[in-house]
Amino acid sequence: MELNPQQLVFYLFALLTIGSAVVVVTIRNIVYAAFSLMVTLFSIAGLYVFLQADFLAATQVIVYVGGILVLILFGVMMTSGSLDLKLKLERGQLFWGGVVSLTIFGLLLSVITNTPQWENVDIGASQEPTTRKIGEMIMKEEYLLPFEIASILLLVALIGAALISRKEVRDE
Amino acid sequence: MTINWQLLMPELIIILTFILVAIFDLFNSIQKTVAAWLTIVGCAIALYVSIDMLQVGMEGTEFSNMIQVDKYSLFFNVIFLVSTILVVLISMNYLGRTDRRQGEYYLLILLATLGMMLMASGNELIVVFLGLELMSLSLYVLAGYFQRSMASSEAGMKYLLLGAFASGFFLYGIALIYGGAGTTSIPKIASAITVNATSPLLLSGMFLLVVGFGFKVALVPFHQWAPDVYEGAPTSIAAFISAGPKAAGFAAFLRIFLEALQNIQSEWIVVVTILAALTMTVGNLVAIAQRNIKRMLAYSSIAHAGYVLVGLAAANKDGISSAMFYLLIYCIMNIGAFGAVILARTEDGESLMISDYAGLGFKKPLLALFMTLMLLSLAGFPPTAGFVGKFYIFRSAVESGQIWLVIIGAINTAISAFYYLRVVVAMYMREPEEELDFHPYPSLLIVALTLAAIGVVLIGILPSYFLSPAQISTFL
Repeated sequence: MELNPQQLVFYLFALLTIGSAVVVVTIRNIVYAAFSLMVTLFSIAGLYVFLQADFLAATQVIVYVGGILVLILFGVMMTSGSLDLKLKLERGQLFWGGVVSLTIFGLLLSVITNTPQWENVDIGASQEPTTRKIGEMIMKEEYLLPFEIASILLLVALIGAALISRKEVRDE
Repeated sequence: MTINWQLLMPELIIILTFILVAIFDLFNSIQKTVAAWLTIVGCAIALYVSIDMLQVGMEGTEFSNMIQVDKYSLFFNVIFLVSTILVVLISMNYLGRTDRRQGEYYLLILLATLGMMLMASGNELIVVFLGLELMSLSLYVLAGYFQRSMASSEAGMKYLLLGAFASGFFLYGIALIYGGAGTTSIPKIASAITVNATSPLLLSGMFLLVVGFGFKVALVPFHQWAPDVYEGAPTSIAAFISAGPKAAGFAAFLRIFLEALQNIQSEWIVVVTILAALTMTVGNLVAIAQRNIKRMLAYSSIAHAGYVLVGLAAANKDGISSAMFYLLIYCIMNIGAFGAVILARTEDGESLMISDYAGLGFKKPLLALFMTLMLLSLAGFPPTAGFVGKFYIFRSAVESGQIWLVIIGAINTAISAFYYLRVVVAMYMREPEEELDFHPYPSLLIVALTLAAIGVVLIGILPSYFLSPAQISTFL
């Protein structure tokens, strides 16, 4: 099989994604696991670039790598003792986790192999950024309502976080 | 873009109420019970508007087909708003006057209700998903409302973890269906799916949607979270979780499966039938073994989800209308049953063991009367609403030829009578083992229970008056 450079880079990213994801679940040191997760999230952003989803790739880097991962690392480092914590897998967890994962994997594999024809969307020669189109769809066209609901969803998260962190006080 | 705001009146009223409650909550000088009253008034107005729209027959889509307001969604609005009003009424005495955090409690209840309404009227899988998340996020926090109680925190945590997992399945299902049909709009999916060429993408997406919904409405084998959450959560919230959100889950379940996926009905009907049989049987059998009344009601609510699923398995017009009718009845009687549990509070908290109810029939006649009525209705005895509800569900299943499912359902109804009646027997025919010091009756709780009792009896005696709106409200 001849690989053109594009395919070569794609397989490199795919391998990085899977390899680092395996490290995340198998390594015992929680900090190494967190850093390995960073590689996974970055390579997924790379795969998004291949799909010409530039906005998605940027969001992936900003939100997951820049936000969530930093939060995870802060959480790990600020929890005392967690740096020396050795992660252990119980036999039962390994078994049931394996069963569920393999079932889903098998399901997806059969979907991939049995789909008679993948529909290729021709995005043509237009290499213009997707940001504009996405912005218009959210603010002007059909996705206005989901966008508004999402803002209410964030409000729920805020109220919920405030409620959970607030002390249970009763007036006397 | 012009928007027909009239169509979205109930949702807008809820949002407006939310803003008002949030503003009033800022002032410490105002009594916190104002939040509860505002919530009730707002929901009552939204309920009135919904019923009015239902009678006028206002229908239409809005926001470029994102939202489909029709009689179906309006009927579900009525279910959600009735249950929210009842839950707020039973919450007020339960939380007490002194709880400073009450404002947030009612805010989250309002937003959860908004989420449910969006789920019922969503015409697009993305809107349904966002509604689902809006509802679920509020419920996770509410389940863990009592921070000092370990059980409540555990309930919140467990609900959050399993619920997030279920949402993941649901979203993955939506993604695969998008891959298979090329759209997330429910009517467009329906026309994209042809009977002969079913792509594996669609089938696996459908399967994942079943798992996601199964978690959210607690179908066996995805039900494990329910008893723990119901037991640990504040009782008023257990009542809330068991009622409206379950109805909302079914509202979206019915619409997606019978409208979007109707052309691959032959594929999912087997799955749904098996799930219905399993859910009824396991729910009822495990309920027998319970000593804690909240856990018993949790398993009973799992079993009731199974009865509603029979309506989906019937997959015809009558199936939908009887499922809607049953959900209305179920919400009223289940909130009533949890309300009666709150009524049986003692100085040391709640009396949750079934043995605590021994002898209450003569010591607390009103409590015992409410409890008996709700349990008889849950068990499906005539002339209560539970009986007519089950009757119409099973009749629709017979019409569509699901005889075996009806037989299993009938056997289960008999099994369920055992554990419901056990509580009734304990109340009237057993001597109490120890003297418990019960709280005096709180007036608002009595109001809520009286409303629920009237509802249960009225629907039981005049079923057609409530069934016919459901019958004209189906989308098929």
